[in-house]
Order: sequence, then structure tokens, then C-alpha cells
Amino acid sequence: MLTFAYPHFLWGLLALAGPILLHLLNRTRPRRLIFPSIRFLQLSPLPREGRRRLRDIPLLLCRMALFAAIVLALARPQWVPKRRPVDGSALQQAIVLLDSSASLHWQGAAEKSRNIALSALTSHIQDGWQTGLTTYSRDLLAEYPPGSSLQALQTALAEWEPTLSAGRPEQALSQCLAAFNPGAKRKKLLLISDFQSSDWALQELTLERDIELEFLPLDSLQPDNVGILSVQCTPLAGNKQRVLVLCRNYSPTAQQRLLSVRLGQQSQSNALQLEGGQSQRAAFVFELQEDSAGPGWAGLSHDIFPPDDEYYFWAGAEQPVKVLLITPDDGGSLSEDEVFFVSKALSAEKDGLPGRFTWERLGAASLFAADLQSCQIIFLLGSAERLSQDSWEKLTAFLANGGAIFHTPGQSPALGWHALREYGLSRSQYQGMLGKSSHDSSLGLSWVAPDSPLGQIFIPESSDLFLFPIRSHARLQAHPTERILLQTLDGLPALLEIASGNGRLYSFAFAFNLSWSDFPLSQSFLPLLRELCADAVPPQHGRKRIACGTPVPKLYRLDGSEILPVSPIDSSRPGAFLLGDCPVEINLDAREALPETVKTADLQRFLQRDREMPASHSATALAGSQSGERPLWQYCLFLMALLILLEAVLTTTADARKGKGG
Amino acid sequence: MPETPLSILLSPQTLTQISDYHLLAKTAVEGLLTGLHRSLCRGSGSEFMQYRAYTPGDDLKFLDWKLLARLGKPYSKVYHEETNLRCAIILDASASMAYQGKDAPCSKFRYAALLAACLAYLAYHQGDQVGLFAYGSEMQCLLPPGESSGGLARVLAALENCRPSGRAEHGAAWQQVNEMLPRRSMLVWLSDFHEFESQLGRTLQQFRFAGHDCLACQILDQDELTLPFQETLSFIDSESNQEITTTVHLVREKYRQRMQDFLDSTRRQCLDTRTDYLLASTSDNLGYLLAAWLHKREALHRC
Repeated sequence: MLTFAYPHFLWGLLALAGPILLHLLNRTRPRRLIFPSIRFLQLSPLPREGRRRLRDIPLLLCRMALFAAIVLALARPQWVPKRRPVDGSALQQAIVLLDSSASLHWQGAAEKSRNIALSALTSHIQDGWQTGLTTYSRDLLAEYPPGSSLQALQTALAEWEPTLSAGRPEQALSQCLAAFNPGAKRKKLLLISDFQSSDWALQELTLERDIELEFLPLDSLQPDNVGILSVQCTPLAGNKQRVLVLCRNYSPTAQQRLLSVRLGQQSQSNALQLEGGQSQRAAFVFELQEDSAGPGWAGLSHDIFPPDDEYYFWAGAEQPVKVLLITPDDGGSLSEDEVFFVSKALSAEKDGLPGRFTWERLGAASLFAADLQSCQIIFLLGSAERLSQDSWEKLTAFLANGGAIFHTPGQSPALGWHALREYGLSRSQYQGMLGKSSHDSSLGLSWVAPDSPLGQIFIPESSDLFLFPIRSHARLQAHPTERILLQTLDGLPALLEIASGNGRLYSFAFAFNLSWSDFPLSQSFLPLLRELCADAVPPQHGRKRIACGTPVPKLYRLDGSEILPVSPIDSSRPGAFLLGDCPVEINLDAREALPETVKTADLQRFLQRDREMPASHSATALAGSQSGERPLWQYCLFLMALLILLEAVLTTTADARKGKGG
Repeated sequence: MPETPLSILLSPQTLTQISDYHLLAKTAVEGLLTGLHRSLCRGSGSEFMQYRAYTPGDDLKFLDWKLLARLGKPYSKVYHEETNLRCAIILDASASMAYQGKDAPCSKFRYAALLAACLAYLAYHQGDQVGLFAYGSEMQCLLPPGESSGGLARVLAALENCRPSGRAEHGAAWQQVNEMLPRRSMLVWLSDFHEFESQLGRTLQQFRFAGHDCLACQILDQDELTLPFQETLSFIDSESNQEITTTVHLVREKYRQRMQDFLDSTRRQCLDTRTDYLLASTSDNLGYLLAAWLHKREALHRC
């Protein structure tokens, strides 16, 4: 069925009368002829024949069709597949849109919304309306189109339960719009929700003005609620785990709650006194047996909104950070030396060394095919100049997602830094090499940034960081946006820290092999590398925290194969699981506990606001993509182009004919 | 090589493609003479009239020696007094002469100029003096017939420089021509004679009184004669710029009748003043037109 996004433009079709009137009114002007003498001529009555007659009919029709095509293109025609061959002249349709988000777990809210929905459905069916039901939380849950029987709707309502997911009504609203019969005389949408502000912060959605909106608020959100915002589990020495629970009192008055934490077989409780509108941390320390990693649970004594009174977390040994060492495929012994020194530094276990790391080695030519999601750090050991464009794009995305890259120069340092600049990872300038030609062995480090993590551990008087010789290093000029962590004796940068996206790039001016310096043999090599790596990795690395209802993230191994869970994970309910060796914590979206609501008047004004171009375009596109609508305005443009050509041809022909006739 | 038919050679379509008036006139006249197989040039000899008795003092070159030998008495031959003919071409170069019909090969002025060039060429090669007077609202060209050499070239050059414009001031032009032209000249008046019929007879009469031999050639376009248009047209007078919008087929018959009256009036006034009258359409064959006129004049002179 043909519909129009802007039907008021169709009034422009009245302008089709314009060309006809112009043809009728515009009498042909007589041709002027300079004649030797007009003495023998006399005035004659002008012929009335043809004065009110349409001439050049094809040209007139062509121009009228062109006019019509322009008007139709402006009205944005679209083809909507006919849903029901129902005569809509007397059709009344109503759809009850039922909020099933986690906030409906507020005490009594679910039953209240069920009763309201049942009442609305019954009354509308009795009044002769075709009635439907749509439930939603994060996604569309159930859809009963208008015309469903009351019995089916009652059964659906009886089986209905709110979920623990956050509410996202956009998709459900679009589905309701598509479910209405376009020819219905009245279309009504009944919204049953608590209208929590976090759920109804709609971005791009506009309803047609002919849809009647009826808001049935639950008024269930109350402020006397205390919930758990987060739990952080930190391993301590001696198989101890520290559990830090953050609770929030949403009410303006002080509240008392009993907080319990269960980890393994142990359980601890603590009574909390939370001031009004304040958050409070509570710490618990558990002493565990070895290999006692597993899920933990924190809970508050129940109140009017139970879902945010419990929190699931994963406790256990710190997950090692995965490091990928990228080396040239034909690097030779120097590359092997670098891999040897770096891998030894990463694998070393010593008291006081931060972080645990595992490493894998990969050739530069294979990087484009590697999955980088499961690793946190990448070492480009002299391989920057060997990477392909695909590999650089993957590295750029890796940095943007929060990864860390360590870069050392290789056999062609200029190419390496040029590639870093070309792909926007670095803005420093490479100005050549120092030391190799002059065989000057007096080069060395002289300065460390005091406010960096390195500045805390390397004190010039007591560290050999400034004692090892550097045989050669790249001469770099740092950009002002880049941070210099180490400087050489001649004041040139030896290590740059460059922020890129959410991640960081560390660029060394010398490689980790003995032809460049004795740095790998120094005592500073191990703490420097480990400190930098530990600083580059976020504290909660490898731990996935998702809200109820969101899909479980997919993790992949380096070979590209997906890591599958031991047993299926139901993300609709809270819990803590291990996916491969990555803990996954599923808990309630904290925004569902917020007691703020939107005003229904504001919401109605927003939903039925005047269609502005971008919003309506998105809404149309959204609705169109789901209801099979096909925009036709492109065909109008094509038709316009054809008609313009035809009009030009006809005009030329008519002019030629007139010229010949004259 | 097939010879080009005379009708094609002397047609206005052919002649109008020749921009050089000298070549044009030569082509037209030589073609005309060749086509007629008859020379109108009689040589430069004097025409014998009679004998008279020799009186002392007579030029001995006129003495007829043969007659003296036979009769024994001297007689002198008496010839017609021979004078050069002065041919003045009066050319109407008003704006109305610029009209060229849709099917006409050339404009009226161009046709008149062709005719003038041919006449000048003919006259020059007969040893006559040729002059040209071209006028519109004012006199554009003033070349009285003279004995100086290069008369034909000057006339042809003046024809090339003339452009039809302005309102025809026939009376003023006649005054100037009459003042500058000696008596007993030959006048060829090439014009459409629009809006001059009331004074044409009197003017021609004055020419006759001055002893001039006159030829009035009225040149009109075929459109003027028949008004062949079909649609409604807005006619603009070429000289007065007045405009009249009319549906042609409704007024055509009336127009043709008035045009015929105009032509009859012109012809009658010419006859009344013993002036040769020639009506020419721009689509007429120029050679035939010239030949017809020359034969007519020859016949008249023999009478």
C-alpha cells in the first residue's frame, strides 16, 4: 500500500492546474514582421479559434508529470505491505505496552501493572477495540497483535513476570507502530510502566500524531532503598582475599542494613549504618585454601527493591596478563635475543614484582590473522617496519580498546617510526641514529620522569638504570603531547609514553639486545619492564562485568577459535561464572535502582513532537526496516530526470516547428 | 561540358551569389547578349543623313569623292549630330527596399542594385556616361554622369556602399537630381514607389519637360503582391514603424485589390507621361527583364 511520510506535500498537486491555466491564458503572441508598407493592410478581428484550446498536449502532459513527480518526491512515498485486508474505516485498535524491566520488581509493582493491563485490555475489548499486548525489557519479550482474543491476553498476563534486565522501550514502541493497521480509524497505545528516567531516556523516536497515547504510571518507585553498587575482590598475600563492597542509600534518611558476604564456605556479615543519599564501602578479608577460586556473593537484608540487594562476584588468583611478542619473521639472532630477554623478564617470579604475565610469540606476517581480544600487551620487537596495513589497523583498534604496545626499533628504525606516524599512533619525529658510526660508548640514560611509575622505583643514586652503556639509539624529537619517561645523557628521549585511544604506546629509542646497549643485562631491566607492564594493564583486566539481560561477550583464543563455557550461561539472572579463564560477573544494572521518573506529559510531548528531519528520518528508517516498508522517492527522482530530458526534447521540437511554421 | 542554361545563369538566385558588381553586371549582360545571339552594339560610326552642296570652308573629309568623280560636282555628306548619352540611375535606397520575402532570392534593394549595375555596364560599353543617385531619407550617393574615365567603376563601388535605410523622400531626391542633371538625359528610376503615387505623375511630367527619357522600374517582392502568409501577424511598417496586427487570410483579398489599384495607378501615370514602366518582382529572371525592356526601347526608337 502506498503511504507518504509527508502527506501534506500532496497539496502541492493542486499546482498541476498551473500549467493548464498558463496554457489556456497564454495566447500565442503573433509573430512580428517588418513589411515594406502596411498601407494596404487593415485590422482584422483576432481569431477566437484556438484561443482557449490546449496546444502542445505532449509538452503540457510532460510538464504536469514533472510537477507531480517533484511533489511526490517531496512527500516521500513508501510502499507498505498490506497487513490485513480489513476495512479500517471503523477499525479501532489498542496495544498495551507493558514494561517488564527490573524496576518492576519494586514491591507490589508487578501485580499492580498486571492488574492495570488486564483492566485496560478488558475494557477496550468490551468497547469494541481490537486489542493487543506487547511486553519488553531490554528486548521485545512478547507480542500479541491487535485482534488477539481476551483469553489469550489473560493467559499471557497471568504468565507474565518482570525480568531483571534494564528497560529499553524503543524497539517495542517501533514494533507497536508497525503492528497498527494503517487504515484504522483510531489507534491507541497504552503505556504501563513505572517510567523510570533511566529507561525512558529516548533518543530518536517519534510517534505519529494519529496515535493516541495513554500513560498508565505505576507510581511504584520509592526512595527507601539501599543497594549494592559493586564488589571488588583483591587477592592478598597468603591466599587471602579482600572483598570491598560498595553500597548506596538512595533514600534521604539514614538506613540500617545487614551486609553479608559469602565466599566459598566462609561467610561474614556486617551491620551498616548508611547516611541519607550516601555511599559506603565495607571491607571483608577471607583467608582461603589454595586453588579456592570461585564465585562469591554479597547481600543486603531485603527491602522494597530486592534485585539490587545481592551481588555476585568472582574471587580467585589474579589472572595472568597475556602478552604477545611480535618479531620479524627473518629477525635473526638479534631478534631472538630480544625475545629471550623480554620473555625472561615477563616470566620471572620474584617478591615485589608486580603482575603475572604469560606470553606468546608471533611473526609479524601472521599478526593480521591473530585475535587480539584476549591479550592486553603487545611487544613490537623490531617488527614495526614489517607490519602490513591490516596489522596496523588491528593494532590501532587494539590501542583504542585500552591495550598497551611496547615498540623497539629494528633493522630499519626509520620505517618503523614512519609507520607509527602514518597510522596516527605517534607524532614524534625520527631524526636518525646516534652512536653507531662514531663507536661512542659513552651514551647512557640520565633522567627518569619523577612523576611516572618508574620515578617511584628508580632513584639515580641507588639504581644501575643510569650506569649501563648505550651503544646506539635513535634520535627522536618528541611531540608536546607525548610524555618522555627516560632521557639519554645528551637529553634525547629514550622512552616515550604516548596515549592513543584508551591505551598507551611505549616507544623505546633502543632495542633490547646487546648490539644496542647492555640494558637487558642490567638489574634495572626486569623491574622497569614489569613496572611498565603492570601500569599499562587496568586493575580489573580479564574480568567481564555485564548487566542482566545483555549477551555474554564472546572470547577467542589466539588461533581465532571461540572460548565456550563449560555449561550454558544464562545472562538473564545474576551470577558469576568462568568463561575459559576469564571470570564473568552478571549483576543487575545499577540504574534500575534509581527512583527518578520522567513526567508523562513531557514524555508525550517528546514522543509526539513535530517531526524534525533527522529524528523522523531515523524513526521512519527504524519502523521501515521492521515493517517491510520500501521508500519510493528514489524512483520519483529517476522519473524526474527522465521527464526533464523528455521536456527538453519536446520543447526543442516545438520551437523548431514554430520556427518552421513562421 | 554542358552549357549552363541562360535561365539559370541570369536568375536572381545565381546573380545574387556574386558580390562583385562588375563581374555580376558582366555576367548578366554578356550572358544576355550571348543568349539572344544579337548584338546591340552598332559600332562607333556616324549615321549618314543627307548630301548637300559643298560650300567653301567645309571640311574636306566630309567631301564625297566618289560622287564628285561620277557627277563632277562636289557634295558634302551631312551626318546626324552625334552626342554622348547621359544615363542617370536613380535608386531608391529607403528602408522599404530592404524587405526580402521568405521565398525571395534577394531583397528588393539588392535586386534593384543588380538591375542598376547591368544598366550601367550596358551604357558604359555603349560609350555613354553613367551616373548614380541613391536616396533614402537623404541622398546617399550622388554621382552625376560625367565624361571622366572610370565612371562605371565608381557607380559599381557606390552601389556596394549603399545600404537601404530611412524613409523614402522621393520629392527631395527628384529636386536634387533635376538640378544636377543636364537636359535630355536618360533616367532610370528604380523604386517600389510606395506612398508616392500622388506625386509620381507630376514628377515624371517634370522629367519629360526637361527633355529626359525616363524609365520607371517598380520593384516589389512577391510577398507584397500576393500576401501569402497564413497566420496572424503583427506587421511593422519598415519606414514609419507603425504596427498593425491582423489575421492575413481575413484581409488578403482586400489587400490584393488595393495593391492592384496601386500598381494600376502607377502604370497609368507612367503612360500618361510617356514614361517606360516596368514592374519587376524580386523573383523574376533578371536577364529576361532586361532583354524585354531593351527590345521594347529599340522598337520604340525605330518608330
